[in-house]
Formats: sequence, C-alpha cells, structure tokens
Amino acid sequence: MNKTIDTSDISFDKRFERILKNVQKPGRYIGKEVNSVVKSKEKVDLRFAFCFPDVYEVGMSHLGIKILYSILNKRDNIWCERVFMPWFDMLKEMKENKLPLFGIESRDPLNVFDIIGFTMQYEMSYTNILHMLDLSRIPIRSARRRGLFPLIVAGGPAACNPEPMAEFIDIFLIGEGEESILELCDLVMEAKKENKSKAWLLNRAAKSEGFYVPSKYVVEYTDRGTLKEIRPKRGAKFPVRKRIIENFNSSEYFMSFPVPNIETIHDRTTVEVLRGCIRGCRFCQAGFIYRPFRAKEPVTLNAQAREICDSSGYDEISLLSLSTSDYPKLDELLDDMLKWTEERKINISLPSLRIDSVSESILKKIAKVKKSGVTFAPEAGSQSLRDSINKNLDEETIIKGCRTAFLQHQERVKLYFIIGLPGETDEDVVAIAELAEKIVEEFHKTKKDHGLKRLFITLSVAFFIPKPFTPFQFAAQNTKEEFERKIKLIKSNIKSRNITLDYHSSEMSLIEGVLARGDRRLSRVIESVFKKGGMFESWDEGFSYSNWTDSFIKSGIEPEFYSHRERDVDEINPWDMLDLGITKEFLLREYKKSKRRVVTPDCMSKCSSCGITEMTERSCFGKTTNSIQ
Amino acid sequence: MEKLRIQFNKTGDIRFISHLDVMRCFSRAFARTSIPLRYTEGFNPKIKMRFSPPLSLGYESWCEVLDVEFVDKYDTSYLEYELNEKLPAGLRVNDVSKPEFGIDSIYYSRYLLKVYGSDDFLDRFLHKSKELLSQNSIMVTKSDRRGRPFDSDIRKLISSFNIFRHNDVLVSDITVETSNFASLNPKVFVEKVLSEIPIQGEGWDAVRTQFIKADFDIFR
Ligand code: SF4
Repeated sequence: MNKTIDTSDISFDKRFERILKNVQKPGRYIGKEVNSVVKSKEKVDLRFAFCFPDVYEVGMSHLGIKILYSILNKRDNIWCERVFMPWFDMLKEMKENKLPLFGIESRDPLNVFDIIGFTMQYEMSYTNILHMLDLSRIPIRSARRRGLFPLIVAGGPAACNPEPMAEFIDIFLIGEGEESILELCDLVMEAKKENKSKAWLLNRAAKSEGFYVPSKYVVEYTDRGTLKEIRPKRGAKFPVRKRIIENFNSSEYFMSFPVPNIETIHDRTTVEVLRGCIRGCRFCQAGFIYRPFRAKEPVTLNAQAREICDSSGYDEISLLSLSTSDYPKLDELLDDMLKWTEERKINISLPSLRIDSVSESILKKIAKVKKSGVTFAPEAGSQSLRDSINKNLDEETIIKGCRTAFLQHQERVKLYFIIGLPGETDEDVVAIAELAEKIVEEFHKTKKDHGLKRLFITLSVAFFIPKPFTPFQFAAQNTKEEFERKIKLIKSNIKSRNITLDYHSSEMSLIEGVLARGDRRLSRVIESVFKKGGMFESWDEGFSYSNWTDSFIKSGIEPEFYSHRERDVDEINPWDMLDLGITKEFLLREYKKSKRRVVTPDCMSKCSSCGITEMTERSCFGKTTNSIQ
Repeated sequence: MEKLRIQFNKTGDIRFISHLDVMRCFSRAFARTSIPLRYTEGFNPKIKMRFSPPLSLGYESWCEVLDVEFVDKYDTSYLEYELNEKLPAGLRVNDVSKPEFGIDSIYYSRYLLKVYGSDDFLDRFLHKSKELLSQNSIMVTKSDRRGRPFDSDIRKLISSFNIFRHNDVLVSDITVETSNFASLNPKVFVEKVLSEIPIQGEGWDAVRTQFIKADFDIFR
C-alpha cells in the first residue's frame, strides 16, 4: 500500500498541517485512503477533477462518483481525482492561509486540471459549485474563461434542468455518464494535442449526442416573462437527447473505490440492482428521468458484490435501486449472496423496500430488520390523494405492516409524507394525522398480549416541490403561508402523545422549487447569493432565506413567477431543449389523470407509452407497447 | 484459536482520524486479508478486538496495541506483512506476538511533545512548565459529563517530566497516567502552561512513544 504523494511544495504541507489542527473532522481532508488512485502527473494526458459540491462524508457515500472515478481511472492516460466542498471552518482557514481548493489525491489546486466536473445532485448545492471554483481562483462565469482549460462540465439528476447554472458551466452531460464522460475526455485530449481553442471544443461538443452547451442556445422571452423561443446556434443539436448506456448488465461498474478513513453517511458499499423504476409515482423525478427500467442479472450482481466486499472490507452491502423489491430475481440474488456473506458476517441491506411487495421468504433472508424501527412512505394521508400521486399503497397494507412490526417488538415507526401536493384538500392533510392515530390504535390492540411498552411514531413531512420531467411539472407550488397553515392543521389533529411531527424549513423548499424549474435568468440570483457568502444551502447551518430573497429583489426576479404559477400546457419550459425520452404528451396525460385521482398501472403490468421506447428502440419488458388510454 | 497482540504506529496525516476510525480501519483491513477472526456473539457480530487506551485525534503514536483472536494459527511475520499490505498509509504494524500481559496492565503513557514558537515564547514555556512541575499541585478546571466545571489537580497524574531546547523546538518527554482509574491527556497540561504565558506560540505536536506498567516496566 503506502502510496506516497509528491510533496515538493513543503510550504503547502506545513500550512495544510497547521490548518488541520484547527478544524473539526480533519480526517475529511487527508485523503490517501486505501484504493485511492495515485498516478504520475507527468505520465497522464488528461487530469480530471471530479467535484462533489458537498462535504466528504456525503460525497463519498454517493454511487455516481464511484462508477465514474473508476471508469476514468481505468484509462492509463487519464487521472481522475476527487474534490469535496470544505466545511465552513476549513473554508475560513483556507482563505486566511491562501490555500486553494485541491484534488484530494495530489493536493494540486483545481486550476491545474484539464476538466473540472461537478455532479449536480440537488439544486441547493449550486452556490457551493461557485465557491469551489472561486476557491481555486477560477472565474465563475463561463464567458470569462477564455482559455480551453480548465473546462467546467456538470451532470447528474439536477442537470435535467441545467438552465439556472447555464452561465457558469461550459458543457452539461445529459443522461447517463458512463460512456459520454470518456467521449468528452477524448475530445478534450484531441483539442489539447492539436492546440485548439475553447470555441472549437464547444462547437464539436454541441454537435455530439448528449452534450448540452448552453452558450450555443439563444433564449428569448415574452412580455409575460415566459419563454418565447429556445434557438440553437448553427450546428447545435436540438433537442439534446439524453444518453442511455448500451447495456446496463454489462456496463462498467466500480470494483474498488477509496475506503474512507472516517465515518461517512453510508458506511457500506453498494451494488446497483436496477436502473429506472416501474412505478411512476407522479411527484418523483427519479422515477421518470432514469427510465427505462433495467435490471442486472443475479450472476453479475453477485460477482460484483463479492469483488467490492473483497476490495473494501465493508461489512455491509446494500442492493441499491429506486425500488429494490421490484427486482424480479431478488430471491435468487439473495440466495447466491447469502452463500458467502453469512460466513463473512456481511449484512445485506435493502434500502428501498416497498412493504406491499415483499414476500415472507425475502424478509426472512435479510432478517436484519434493524432495531431502529420500521419506515413507510405513504407520501399522502388519504387514499384518494395517494391515487392522485400514483402511490399504490393502501391503508390496510400500512396498518398490517405496522402490526407485523409490533409483533416483532418494534416500537418505532417512521412515516414519510409530502404536503402541498397538487389538488390536495384540507381533508387530505388531516388524513395524515388520522392515519397516524389509526396506527396508535392498532398498537394499543396489540400491546397487552405482546408485552409492548410505548410506541413512537414520527411523521416526517416534506414540502412538495414540482420538478421537471414529472407530471407535476405544470403545477403550482404551495406558498409559504399555505405550507405553514397545513403544518398547523396536522398538529391540531394529532391527539396521541405517541406521535411527533418532524418537518424541515418550508423556505428551503420554496427556493429549491424556484431553482428546479428556473431559467437562465436565475444565474444572476445564484451568483448574488454566492457573493453574499451563501453556501451549504441544503444544510440548516448554511441556509439563509434572506440571502435569497434579497438576491431576487436585486436581480429583478420574482420567485413566485417560477414557483406559485400553474404553467400553461403549451408553455415552453426552460428545459425543453432536452429530450429525456419522456414525452410532454405522456406527462400531461398523467397530470390530467392525477386531477381525476386515477392511478396508472406499473410498467410491468401495463405499458403507458411514456415515450422512452422511441429512444431505446426496444420495448421495455419484451411486450408490445399497449395502446394509449 | 490464538490470541495475538498487534503493535502498530499511527503517523503522518492519519493521525487526524479518531480512535473509532482506527478501529474501523482495522476491521476492514482484516476483512480485506480474508484471515478468519473470532467474532462477538449476538445480533450484529463484530471482530473481537481490544485496543490500548484511545489516542487523541491529532497525536501520533509509535506504540499502539491491539489484541485480536484468530481462528487458526498463523505465522506472525505473515500476519504482519498481510496487514501492512491492507492498512491505510500511516497505520503500520511493527510487531505481532503472543501477549505477555493483559492490556489492563497499561498504567502510564509516555509522550514526546514538540512545541514551536519564537525564542521568547519557547523560553517562557520552558520556565513556566518547570515552575508548574516543581509545585505540589497543578490545578486546572475540567468539566464533568453534564458540562459543569470543577477544579482538579493534575500534578499527581504526571509521573515524570523532562523538557529541553533542541534547535528551534522545545522537546518534552512526559509520562502521564492512563490507567483504568485515572488518565491525563497531555493537552490539559500544555494548555495550562499556555494559559499562563502572555504571548502566543506556533502550535505543538504530540507522539505517544511508550506504554508503561504500574511497576514502571515497559509494556509490550
Ligand atoms: S415505455 Fe411503457 S413500460 Fe417502458 S417505461 Fe415507458 S411506460 Fe413504462
């Protein structure tokens, strides 16, 4: 092991060491973990800084970075390093000591890298991206960066509406990055070798599949402020189609990844069982943007799981997907894995189980239902609202699931809800409290006979945020006042002292709502918040509502226009230059059905023609496409 | 079944991870070697490991100790090699051997402190620390579990102390109690000295160099 790092810059090391003594959790910044990749910088043709705009512990728990780090470093001529956002205390020290942000492997400043790639996981991390550039003294605006290097790129789920970040990012990678990231590297290496300009590179990228180059599109607005036109400049693709990898089962996966020396959010490793989701819950962006539904074979997964456990030494592996119980061969996979995991005392965890679709036999196999309790995500309190959001989970199943948990002496239940869903009435809101009360009743029925003591129910309530590429992309978000009124309504309907209500800032959800469906003009707002020092906006420690409201005013932007307005179905959306395979017609159909509170069957039962097959050129489950209802 | 003692260093940047993190690093390193170990009973089995008294985050050490129970008999130099292959940089096994005494017999920890600063500062630090040590008691304010302050005498926890100037660094060799009954972090002493000097230094470092038993023999 003992890979050493070139420490020619003694003064950097001295300064760095001094700083580490002054910050909380210095282990976040030291790197040199087992399996981290160190190459000789003279011997590679391209240096890639993979930036996760949040702290180390969050970024290191994320799957995407693991896959792409591994794919890039597999190429001998590319060296990919990791970069995380320093926490407040570290950032302050770095600024005071004039230490630039650095790649964790080489400790070289970001501006020596050829490509700086950001993963955009959530909108509230946008200001962190600007801080990370600024910490390396890189101009934040794309137009201000004249040279070819460093090239700033971004991808990830939030990039399905890239517009709020359009002024800062040179190229967005749309869709799955496994193949396109290497194509991008090849293109950059070509430009580098032949001494081409940034303009040349952006032109070439704009003509390639899956690359969105914002500077190649002109956006015009109507008097009302809505979009009038998105016009591609010469040669730029329109629409930009998302990339879908050729074969999910045989796609590149990471077989080793740096093993953190400190505790992270998820102290475990992962295999990706499924991509896409058959459910189509109407509020869930992930359920649409990752389509089509694909599964890996048990033999692939078992081999990958084994290799990753061998290389990492983790004692827990999670079978990751949006809904792992929808994996048709789950039984078989678990049987294969248990053959070696049991002996090695490795736990298998299924983080996204749907209680309604898990067989007894599977539950027995994973047996490790943690004493920390059970969680359910009914999302809405009433059956009819659950129908409206297409969450096919009925009350009986929830109550039955709780009873089963009680019989196993579990006394903690956590329920996830969303309020502010389109079409929600006060009765729907009250139903959240009522459902919790019914669970309390069920507990009291079971209590005596089974020696149970006290029930703890946590209602975890989130505020609904309409997202692009979902049927609710047309809908208005609730106002702050409405959110707060509904929280009070739930509170006043909770009678039992066994129930606690847990909710986050409605203000944060409002800002996220604006950014999620925002256009290019929001770049000004993001820049202004950044200049006010706004960072870690998804953290309570970082979020400042007044920074945002001040910046809206300063930029002449009305946030209500983006969040609280029901959008016309013919309106051009800021993300309409992207084609994610899901058609607007389908989304609209789903939106209308939600208003009638009608459910759509899951994709395995019946195809609802979302449009993705146009892109994949094959049917999702080997069946012919069903007719449009 | 064989119980073995692993003696290891914690040096370089890895000194910035906590005691719990070190435990995790060892569990994972063992898992990567695929050498079978004894586990604890129960719902969530963990490798049976016993560590010497926790080392403060930020301190280096040349003498950390860990006892583990192996399922089979192994050549100790093979174990040493395997572990060093699998451990993160900075955690380095120096010796694997059959333990002679239990970890409980560790009574004192010996540290090497290095203090940095201006000439004036170092002079003052040297004199102040000698002056404090010459007294019968050194009172510091600690806080209890609930955060309430109380006064405590740390003089009796310092069993030996030596300090000298080496070029532009102050070097101190200090032995403090780290037993089951009481223990002192050298930081408490350093901060006491610093609090009585009007000028600021440029930081300090600590390395744990030895464990010592109650009878003042070296613990191995
Ligand atoms: S094409 Fe049909 S089966 Fe495939 S994802 Fe869309 S709705 Fe589901």
